[in-house]
Amino acid sequence: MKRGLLSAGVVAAAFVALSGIAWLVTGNGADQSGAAAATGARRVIYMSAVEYKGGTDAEPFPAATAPAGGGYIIKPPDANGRWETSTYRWEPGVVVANQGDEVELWIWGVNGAQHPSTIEGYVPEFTVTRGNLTVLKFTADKAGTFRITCHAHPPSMEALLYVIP
Amino acid sequence: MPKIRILFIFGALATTLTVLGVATLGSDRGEAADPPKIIYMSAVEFKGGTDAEAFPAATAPAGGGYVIKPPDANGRWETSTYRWDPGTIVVDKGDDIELWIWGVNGSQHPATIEGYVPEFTVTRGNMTVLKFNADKEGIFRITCHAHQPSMEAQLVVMSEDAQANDTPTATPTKAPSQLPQTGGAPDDGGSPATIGVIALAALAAAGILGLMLKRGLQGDSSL
Repeated sequence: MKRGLLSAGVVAAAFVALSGIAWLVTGNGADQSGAAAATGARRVIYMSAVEYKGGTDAEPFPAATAPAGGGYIIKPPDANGRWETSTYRWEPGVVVANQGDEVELWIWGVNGAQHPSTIEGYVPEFTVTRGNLTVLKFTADKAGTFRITCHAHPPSMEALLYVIP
Repeated sequence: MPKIRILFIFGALATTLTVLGVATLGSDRGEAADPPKIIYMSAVEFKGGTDAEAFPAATAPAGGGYVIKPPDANGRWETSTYRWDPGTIVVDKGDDIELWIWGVNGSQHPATIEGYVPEFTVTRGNMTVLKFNADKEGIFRITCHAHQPSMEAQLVVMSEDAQANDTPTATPTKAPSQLPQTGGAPDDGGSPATIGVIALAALAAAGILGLMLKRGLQGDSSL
């Protein structure tokens, strides 16, 4: 019965092979792209320190005062009745890394002279200045959301670093 | 030999199921029922300047993404950076995406989306619409090659696991894939392809078991 055995073997092998192919085709196999995959990947993230500005002479000056701290600015009406407001922000306000990534945050200062800052859980102290690049390097070894805070422009100049587990 | 015959029947069944499973893969993805998720972006340049701070000694990285203009007659110098806005966008794996990108600053932005869009160009005052299915999870770079290195955003495609933990938000039209499915749409665990794969795996195991049994019996009879 050698032939029978051989046939059975071939059929069994075919089962396994077909299952494997189907498994791969359905995307359950290792089909993640290089960008998504393994931990330890270098990930450069670009940010900038910005101030969004607006103003008008056609709306009444707000009665409420802005929260203190430097992050929100209200300038009273000038001789022509135009008043202005602005807010300091990190841009983008949310950045994402995978846990284990070797992160490089490249932060360019556009508005504001000085931004003395911290990244909760990751970077105890750094300062971004206008016209200069600040590069922060760290391993994103903790999953979660972490605040990127400028202490010269609270409360608004705060972004979220989201580390995906 | 009845056992051999049974194995062949298993084989025929497995082949049929495989063909069926592969054939239904198409309908498993990109279900026509959900409208595409539209995400709005723009190509912008953030600008600043001062006459009260010293002109930076360091030079900006090359590539066009960072601009520094030396002091003018009044001592005012300026800096700017080209960016995609927002710099991070998030979608669910499997979503049909439409990226609507408006050009505000900069005349031309020849660009790519890693893993998704090999080539596109955004021009000032024009809308560029990119359509694709977010079929790969991970973080992918949206890169303008004319404004390096800063004009790079993140496309984050969340895994199915992460989606399962999501709760529908107050803006259902923006997240149709996260809403409860109605009317017999296949869920993750019961799609034809998944059933096919599970059946195949079971059959493969049965086949191997049969083979081992057969070998075992022959071994016994030769004693």
